Amino acid sequence: MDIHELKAYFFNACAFLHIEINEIQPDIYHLVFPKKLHHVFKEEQMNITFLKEHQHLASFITTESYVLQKIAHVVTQQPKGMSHAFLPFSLQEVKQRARQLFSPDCTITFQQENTITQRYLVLWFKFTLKGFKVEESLRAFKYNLATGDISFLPFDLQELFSRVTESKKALPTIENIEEINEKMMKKATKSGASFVKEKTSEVEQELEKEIKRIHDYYDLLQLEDAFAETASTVETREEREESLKSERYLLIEQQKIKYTFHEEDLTIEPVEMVVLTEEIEYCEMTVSNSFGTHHFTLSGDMENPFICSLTKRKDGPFTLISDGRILLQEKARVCTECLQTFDYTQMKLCAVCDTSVCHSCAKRSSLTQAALCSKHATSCQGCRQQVATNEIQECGSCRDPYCRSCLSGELCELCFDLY
Amino acid sequence: MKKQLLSDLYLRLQSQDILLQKGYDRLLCLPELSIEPKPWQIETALKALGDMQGSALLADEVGLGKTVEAGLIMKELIHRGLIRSILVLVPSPLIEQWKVEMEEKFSLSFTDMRQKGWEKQELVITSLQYPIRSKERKAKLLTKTFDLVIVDEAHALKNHQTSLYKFVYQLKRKNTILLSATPLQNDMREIYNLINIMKPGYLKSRRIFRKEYMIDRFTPKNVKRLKDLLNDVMIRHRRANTLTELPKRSLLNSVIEMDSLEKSFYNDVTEFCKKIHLDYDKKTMSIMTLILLLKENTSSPQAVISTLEKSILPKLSKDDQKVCKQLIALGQQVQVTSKMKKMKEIVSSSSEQYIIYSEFQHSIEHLRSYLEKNGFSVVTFSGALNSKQKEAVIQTFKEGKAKILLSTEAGGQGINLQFCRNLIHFDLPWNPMRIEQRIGRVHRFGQTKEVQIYTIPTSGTIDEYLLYILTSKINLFEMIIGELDTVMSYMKEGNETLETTIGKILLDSKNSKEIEEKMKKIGEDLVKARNEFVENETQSSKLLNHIGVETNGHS
Repeated sequence: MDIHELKAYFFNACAFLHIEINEIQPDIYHLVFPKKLHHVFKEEQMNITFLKEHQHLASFITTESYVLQKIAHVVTQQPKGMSHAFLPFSLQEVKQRARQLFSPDCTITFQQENTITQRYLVLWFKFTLKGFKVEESLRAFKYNLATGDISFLPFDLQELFSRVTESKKALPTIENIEEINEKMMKKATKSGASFVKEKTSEVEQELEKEIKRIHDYYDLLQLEDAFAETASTVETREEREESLKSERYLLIEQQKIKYTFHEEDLTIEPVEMVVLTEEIEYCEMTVSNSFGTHHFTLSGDMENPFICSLTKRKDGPFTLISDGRILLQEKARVCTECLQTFDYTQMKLCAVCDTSVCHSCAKRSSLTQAALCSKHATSCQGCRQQVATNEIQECGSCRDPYCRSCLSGELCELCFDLY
Repeated sequence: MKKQLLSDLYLRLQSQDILLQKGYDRLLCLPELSIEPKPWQIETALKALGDMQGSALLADEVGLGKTVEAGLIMKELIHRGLIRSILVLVPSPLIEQWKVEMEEKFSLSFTDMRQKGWEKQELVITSLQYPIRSKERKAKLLTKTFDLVIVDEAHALKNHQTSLYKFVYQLKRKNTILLSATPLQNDMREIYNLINIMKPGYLKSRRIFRKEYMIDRFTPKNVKRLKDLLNDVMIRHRRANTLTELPKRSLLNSVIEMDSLEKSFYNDVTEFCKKIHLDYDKKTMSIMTLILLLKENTSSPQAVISTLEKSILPKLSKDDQKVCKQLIALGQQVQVTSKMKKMKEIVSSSSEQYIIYSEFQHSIEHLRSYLEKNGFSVVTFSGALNSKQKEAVIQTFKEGKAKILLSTEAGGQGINLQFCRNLIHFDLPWNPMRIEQRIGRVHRFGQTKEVQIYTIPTSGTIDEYLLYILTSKINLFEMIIGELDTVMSYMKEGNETLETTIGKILLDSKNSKEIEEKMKKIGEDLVKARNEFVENETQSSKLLNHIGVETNGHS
């Protein structure tokens, strides 16, 4: 939370809890707690500030500060109700993005627009994992009230609440809310394993570092012992080795106990819920250019449905190529022979002039197997094979073109015989 | 379910998000404490828990509250549900103080290993030496795995060849907190030894440490690298960077003479105790009861009479009962002692408020009635009150509705009385730590005036000897709060407390000359301990400052 978000939250929370707040001098606020909160704050009023430089004048508020934590706690303790949020997924932005993502040679049209409404029960769970430290996270799941499907809610709080509005419709009656909660709890519990795995992998490096420290230390001790001249009897040396071994083992075990998270150390607790009505707009989109036409189904909740068939990139600009595929424009090449568009991996470069030619249009030199455009491919008067124009020499007498296999001297075989 | 505004839901979710624990960005246990920790203490706890992941050497200079820092670490880990078992190892004179401090400030109840059934407890405290004096005790501790082991005055672990060092090294534990204001004293290797207990191999092997970081015992090399390494496992604040100076405190000592009746009662009680000590076996008459009686004898006849009647009389032979009853009758004749008159004189000398401490409830009650009869407004504070009553008493006194607060130490650890500057030791605890705790109630942050400490020792009694040692020898009344703990840790650890030692001196000595000589010996031991500490602190500071181990403090 930056200072503006923090301030906004603080003021909203104060309003919610009926705490009177007045700015008594620049950046210093006077709080007057309602009677019912006197026992919580153990004070009837206090001064606060959001600026560190004023902390000698008033209680400095940060997300970790005692006052804010207390306020947050009191907010969560207030009686709960059920909210109804409306989340529209309009096509407007998706369409605009689609237009921007295709090159000007493509024509885009949209047809058959319609809207589908889905209703969900969204439940936020608090995941608490206790190991050598506490890791907590809020995760939300949504239950489709029509199909019973449960999925992860892909928004963080700020993003979600910047998009939702208060639903104008009445709250639906959810008969089996306890059953739904149970199902969602099961789903959340199932996802707990991945949370534990994620947190374990975060501390694994730390554990490895600690284990390495212990191994390095005991390796050193053993090495120093081996070189020690004062070693007494064989038995004491053996005893020493044994004790080092057991110390090393015990220390590593202690580190493992410390740095391991277990699934049984995870608690999952439902904290808040909301009925969420999603309204998703759908349409058909047609992209066409001289090489073909492509159809897509677009929906308002789509991030970006277009993908380069070659690079898998989604950032565009795209075009359609001769075989009908979508391709990043920068990866498309035009064949100088047939004027069709292909992806660059389907193209060859003429060994003489470097121009792009498609597989079908490309000729080959019988001498080097190199690709050639039709302009730089010719045939040898001797062997009648196709070769590159720069692989041809003229006979010194008849001036006929010959490849280097057929013309070993200055004259072709025929002229040589004549002379 | 009632409909709720979406904005309210967002606020609730934001609140849930704010309350999430993400590592150690704050201490969650603070609302549960009865103290307000200082900024550097909070910073230390957060650093030890966060960056140092639960194992650290806390090396603040004396007086900055390392015990509070350790308490914060423990409390926070317990609050978050991350640990259950803790073993605290402290020098034996500090066990009681640690227990009380943890209970009063952090609501953590530690069980002394000397108590039966300690094995079943999660929070165990013991002296550094107690476990290693018995194979069985040692083995019991070594089979357990502790979530946290704390060693106070950890300079006791400076030598890796001692059985204490080897024992602590072997303790199975997840986290280790070491506390010492003097983590190195005579040799750089001492700090290696401390850190090697906490994190074996962190500074490589002893041989490599010597080669890489020592020119000689007192001179470090590769200072920059050593500093970086130490700063990752060690936290050290300096007084100069943290504390705002407290006002001065002065000792006003008024030696008084007893009148003949008092003197005769005092002497008869002393002789009677000696006789009982000789004539009765320990099972019938515990030495602790006799020591209590001797201590009460320096306070008031009323305190003595109560113990004589309740704890002594029923156990005596008929002949001795007769003597005892005569003693009680004599004591009852002494209603207003010279000490009480002196006390009245002191409190009448100004219009200010006074706190009067006595160790004994009967003395307190007697003083209350005497002061009230003389027209003073008095409130009393003792461990017998419940927390609401305690709060009310302090509030009355704070609001100036009473001139005098009469208090026993019991239950008073967490209270702050810095709004008052006059403190009278009506009797003097034989444990110097308790004297320091009394002073600490008024001479603390928030005190703005010079603190006046009054003592009223009676001429020719043990009080006079004790006061002489504490003032002339170790200058207790001018010490920094907390310094005494460290000084006491430098005393050779015996099996008994200073209180018991003094009690035994009184019981076993033939005459006052012998008492004087034995008390002198205690004084010499204290002086030796203090000198050793001062020397080590200077040496330690010099070396640590040279290396640059210091955490930036808050002013």
